[in-house]
Amino acid sequence: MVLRDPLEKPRERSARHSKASDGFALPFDRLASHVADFVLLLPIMALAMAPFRRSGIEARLLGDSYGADLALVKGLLAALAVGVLWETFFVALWGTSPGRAIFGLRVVDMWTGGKPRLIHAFARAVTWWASLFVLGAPFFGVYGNAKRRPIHDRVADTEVRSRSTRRQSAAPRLAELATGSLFATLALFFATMALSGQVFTFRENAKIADKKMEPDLCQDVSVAFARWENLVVKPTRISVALGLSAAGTVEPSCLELEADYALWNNQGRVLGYLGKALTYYGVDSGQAEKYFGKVCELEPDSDACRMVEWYREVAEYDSSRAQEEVGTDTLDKIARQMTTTRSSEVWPDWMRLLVLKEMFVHRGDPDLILQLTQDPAQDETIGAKLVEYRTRALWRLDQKREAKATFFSAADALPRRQRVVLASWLCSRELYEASCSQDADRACDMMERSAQVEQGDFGVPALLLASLRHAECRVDKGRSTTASFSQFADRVKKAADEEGRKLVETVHVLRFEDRRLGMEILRQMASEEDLSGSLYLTEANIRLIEEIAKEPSSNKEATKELLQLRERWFSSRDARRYADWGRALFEALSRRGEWQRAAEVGVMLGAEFEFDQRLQRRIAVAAWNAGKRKLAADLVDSLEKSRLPASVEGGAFLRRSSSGSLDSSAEATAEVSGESAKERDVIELIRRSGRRR
Amino acid sequence: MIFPLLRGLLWFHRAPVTWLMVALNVAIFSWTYPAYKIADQAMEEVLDDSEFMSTTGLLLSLEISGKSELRTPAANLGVGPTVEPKGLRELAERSLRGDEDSRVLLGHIALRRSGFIEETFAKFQEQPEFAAGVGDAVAVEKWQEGVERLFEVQGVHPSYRLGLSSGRSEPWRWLTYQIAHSGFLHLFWNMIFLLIFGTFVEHSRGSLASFLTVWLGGLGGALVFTLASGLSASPLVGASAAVSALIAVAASNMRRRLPFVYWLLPIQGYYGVAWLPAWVLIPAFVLPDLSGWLSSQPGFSGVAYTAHLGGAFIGFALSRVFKERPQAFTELAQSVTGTAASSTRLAA
Repeated sequence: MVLRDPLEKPRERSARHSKASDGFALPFDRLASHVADFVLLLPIMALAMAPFRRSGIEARLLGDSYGADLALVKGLLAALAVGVLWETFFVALWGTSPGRAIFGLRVVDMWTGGKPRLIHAFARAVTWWASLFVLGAPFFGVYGNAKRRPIHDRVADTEVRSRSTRRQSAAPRLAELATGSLFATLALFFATMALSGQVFTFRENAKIADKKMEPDLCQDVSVAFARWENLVVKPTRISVALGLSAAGTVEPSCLELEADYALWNNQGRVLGYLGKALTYYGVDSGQAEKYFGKVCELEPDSDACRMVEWYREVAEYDSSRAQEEVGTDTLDKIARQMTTTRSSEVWPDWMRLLVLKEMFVHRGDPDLILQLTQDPAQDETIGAKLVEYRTRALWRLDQKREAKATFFSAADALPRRQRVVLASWLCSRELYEASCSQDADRACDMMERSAQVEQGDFGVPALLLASLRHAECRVDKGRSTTASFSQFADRVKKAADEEGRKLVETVHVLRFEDRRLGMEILRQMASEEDLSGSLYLTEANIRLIEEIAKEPSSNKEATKELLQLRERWFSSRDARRYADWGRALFEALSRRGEWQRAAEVGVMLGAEFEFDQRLQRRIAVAAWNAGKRKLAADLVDSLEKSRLPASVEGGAFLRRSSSGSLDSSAEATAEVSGESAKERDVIELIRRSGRRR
Repeated sequence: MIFPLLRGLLWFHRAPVTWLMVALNVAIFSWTYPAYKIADQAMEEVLDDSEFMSTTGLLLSLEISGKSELRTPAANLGVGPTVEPKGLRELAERSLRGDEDSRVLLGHIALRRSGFIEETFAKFQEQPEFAAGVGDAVAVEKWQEGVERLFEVQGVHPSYRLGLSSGRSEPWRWLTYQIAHSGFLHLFWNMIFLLIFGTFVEHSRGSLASFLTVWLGGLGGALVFTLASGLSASPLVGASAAVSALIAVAASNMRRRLPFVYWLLPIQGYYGVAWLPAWVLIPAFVLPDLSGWLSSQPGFSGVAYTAHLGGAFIGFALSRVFKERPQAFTELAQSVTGTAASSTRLAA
């Protein structure tokens, strides 16, 4: 083929426009002419897009996808403007364009046969580019029109003619028409898909553009920090974060974020290092030690560094894998210093909470715990944690009435979440230790009032188990019917997972339908090899033990099964964690006079924190009865040492509700705990034997 | 699709200098390739170390937000206070507020930033007590180990050994950077273009023209790159500035017809060879560099557009010095069509 020279003087050519011999252009010539045009046009379009692409990249880097989309749209519009300008300019001025000129094509006005007018050229250019926008579907009009005029030619009253006599086209045939329609349909289909997808993404991005995610610090800390702002001494964010993290209300990742912020923005470096250290503590001891080192390097004589000393001590113990527990002297020293040398206001809450947390984990002096929890905190979530610690410390000291008083007097002021947690703790303690007492009712009622099914609270196993036992209590006491128990079960089952649902159903069967069948299912659940910390499976074991304990002592089979269950408890990975399981075993065994075996369970139970003094006395009695006199004496000895602490006696706000039990004499305690006279006698015996030694 | 024609230009005797330069590039590349492969992988590992990149990003955030004087003031002498772009300042703000993505992104920027890593590292080494007060001192200590590893890798990486970067800008590097390439494709395309335009320039204007255009073009490209955006800490490598200079020489006589291969549609009659004016090379090869430069964020682009533009500038200047041999074009036409066709008509 011979191509026309695009640089041949255009004016000469336009003079030849009205040649009658000109015919319609070949469709492929038209396509190729546009491709040729684009060789020159595309670089210019890219140039026009450049500034928008630049700002688009910037927006993308900043994670602003809406801004990036917007920049892209603007860039495309700029490129489109260049394209429209190119078409309009060349067609209106020369009646052709560089690409068309190569193939000898001309755009002519249908009526005059000359160059189109400027306005027509413009309308044609806009329509042409709009057609390209829908994947060129309208271009297939060249196959559907006798004069081969797609929509842009019709809009502008133009047609495209070829100068070369050998490159002219006749009117399209039917086959061409069919192919053209097919391709046009396909193009339109894909264009619709692609465009709607794009528009959808664009709109989605526009939606989130308003609430563009602030790459922000920890939300919970921000909220607490804002609450604190009115105070005279404003704390730093990191101190708030440390406090919340010690209270267990924020994730470790949150603490790390805040610690990083504090370090890199110089907002409390010592606490920043402490925060970093605590996020690694127990995970990566080497890294934690580096950060601990920084804390003491910056401020060797600070509270933070004193805490570090303690953490290091624990880490050392952990690495030495010593059997006995770490001594709490260092911790107690810090706590004592906090309670005596300075007024509590000077002590930041984070420090108090960290100390308390450690004292709880490592069973520090409960007296100190009570003193540390005496003053209110600055934040309600931290305050709630203090109430929890105080309640549990009192419980541990067997000051259960004081514990309850502490909880109930503060309950209304606690945030809902914490109220539910603490109430469910109290409710389960009551139910497991004293079964269906009035106090249990009170705590459990509060728990159920505060808990919200829609918040998924019943999905928490501890809460579900407590409310299940409570519902049974209500039926037993005649305060509720079997039907309403079923209703309760149905409601709770929705929130629980599969195991929880199964347990609820089993209990229903056991209590109200077929005890034998219920026990069978319990046996099956209880024999599950892998407990993996499932409270439901633990509960199945406890239930089974309770049911078997109801059998008369003469039933040898039952005793044998109990012993099997005892083995299971011993062999579970962390028997101490399942103290209620052990307690049920202890009760069942001692009721059967299996003193030796009960005492063994009791010794194991002694390692558990929630272990109360009343139980300890009973373990001492069991040990005495089993002939383990030294053990019994040791147990009573340790009881004598941790008598009711002075702080409770001095705690003014407790006096009101617990005056009866403040006397720490053996009689008063015994009265409270409902000990039998026989047990008291045995204790007296043990005490005497201890003194003899 | 349009491309200047190779045919007739591939004979060694017509363009010995160009061919030698191509051979030199290929030889250097093959020689350094084993080292390149190992070093590049080690480099990838450094860049993939999110902790290192995160700390690097945080350090840069401190510099950008003006919260810490990481570098000694002497380092900034003569440059004067620079105002960081708004986007960078926002990134720094975000990274200091805990956004991990921004940190890593800034880390990558920091690795390109002229002198940042070297000077910060040097200051940390000289004043450990200062380093201990910057951000998270434990992370900073670890970062220094990372930098030592980075320097080690850079010490053996051919792109750093031959390339031109802010930390390594001895005079000889202004020439050697042109013969180092980062990867096979980089080398391949540069050599293709070097052949096409180098042989053309050598044929039409002589071997000296070709030789000087390549080396001076590379020099000028690096100079313009330095003036426009300052040397980056990541090395400038590749012969593309020289290629741009050659293209500019070829396009300088704009009305001269050159044979181009065109390919418009995959249908016979729509591809072939056409004689088009030389200026077509400008929108096809020079304009994209301009729009590339205008559309890239400073410090982000992997392509040194300004170096290309600088090379092109040198090329235009050199075309005034080395005149065309008219006879060369008759020969060219002969080689393309087999006859001494007039170069004013298109033929295919």
